[in-house]
Amino acid sequence: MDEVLAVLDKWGEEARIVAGNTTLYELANQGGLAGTRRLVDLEGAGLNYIRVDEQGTLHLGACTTFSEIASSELLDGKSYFGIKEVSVKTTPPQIRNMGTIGGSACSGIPFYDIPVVLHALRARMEILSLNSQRIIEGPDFFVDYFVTALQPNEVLAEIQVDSRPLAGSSFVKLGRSSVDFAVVNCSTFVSLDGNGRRVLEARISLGGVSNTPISYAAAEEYLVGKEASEASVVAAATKPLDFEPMPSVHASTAYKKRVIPVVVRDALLLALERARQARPR
Amino acid sequence: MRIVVNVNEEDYEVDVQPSTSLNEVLREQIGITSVKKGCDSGGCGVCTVLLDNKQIYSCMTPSWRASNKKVLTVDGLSKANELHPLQQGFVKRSASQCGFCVPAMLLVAKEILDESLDPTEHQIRDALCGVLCRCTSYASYIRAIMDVAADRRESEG
Repeated sequence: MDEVLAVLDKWGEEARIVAGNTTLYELANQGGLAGTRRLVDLEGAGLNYIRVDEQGTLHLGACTTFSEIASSELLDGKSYFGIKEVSVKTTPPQIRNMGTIGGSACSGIPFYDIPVVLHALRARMEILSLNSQRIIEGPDFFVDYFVTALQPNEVLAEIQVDSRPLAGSSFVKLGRSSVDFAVVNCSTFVSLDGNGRRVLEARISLGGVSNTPISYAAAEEYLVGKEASEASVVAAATKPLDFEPMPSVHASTAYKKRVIPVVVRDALLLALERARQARPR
Repeated sequence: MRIVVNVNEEDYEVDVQPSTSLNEVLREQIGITSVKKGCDSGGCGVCTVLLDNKQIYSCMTPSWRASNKKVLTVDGLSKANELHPLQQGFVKRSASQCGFCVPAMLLVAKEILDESLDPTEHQIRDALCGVLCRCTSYASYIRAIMDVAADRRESEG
């Protein structure tokens, strides 16, 4: 790892990090690596691990592949299960085996599936450079289209998510086919009060609608304090959108407005069910 | 840089550039043309090989990532003159039409059968979803793989 940081410090914007290489390869084909003089391979840097500490906090090495997360039992029944769900739902298997959670986050691509989950779970992104270490919360990490908070001399080393009692999370994607990018994707996090009757916190993040994942604030605000029921979820998912979804090649703004309530409802119902069944931390 | 790649149980020492893909090494340096180059962007899957028993796109895999690892292509499936049970299953079910995607299909089929003794149709569909078959032989592939899994369970029974 020290070697990686030293190379990044020396070469700055002329160096590019290789994690799973799936996004980088496509960028290279499009001429996106013009000016790159050093490729820094993270495979041997020891960033490939899944660990849960004594407080229940999940620690994911940035180079952990989707396959590795999908086959881990450490996330089962936990409030951060949404990360396993998105990994299982990542297709095709070739990409599951090659792609990494950190690489997917650092691509800054708003219709990728990982960013929206890290946004909803308020994951802590641990960022290293030669002489410093800092932590950025999920939503602040995603700055703009293809832009994250990472500086040229920095590397995302670890992703951390706290375990919460009586809470659940989910990921739902609407794509043109099972292997296609999302038209719209959604990740939600719901926590319940002590007796499990009311919604304590609700976070609803949407991808494929803006330059970064964004919060559906109107629905979040509505749901807090409401009864933890399907009726509340359906009502929340039909609150007027407080943003204008950007169109994409396969879907217009109008279409996205029609499908968002469905995707949000499905995602919230999953998170609510998981919150009800959640084990104490 | 010089790297050693083990392909179908044989070591090859090859000279590669940072931009050389595993696909280029296999096709152009070692001469294994069963591994195709299709879309060259991780969309069609005909470049699929097993790298340490996991299906990956060889077009997107840097050659140096295969250093000191084991690559399996369809050429390594059959032993001597005997076809692998999956190859026999594909023949029996007449599962192949033009044949372009078959080397990749057989490898992803092998991965799922290595992982599961009794894969469900859903699991097989998931395993196959990264390889496009333009003749749309998917249903025959799935039946063939389920046949082979059933035969194997019976013989090991």
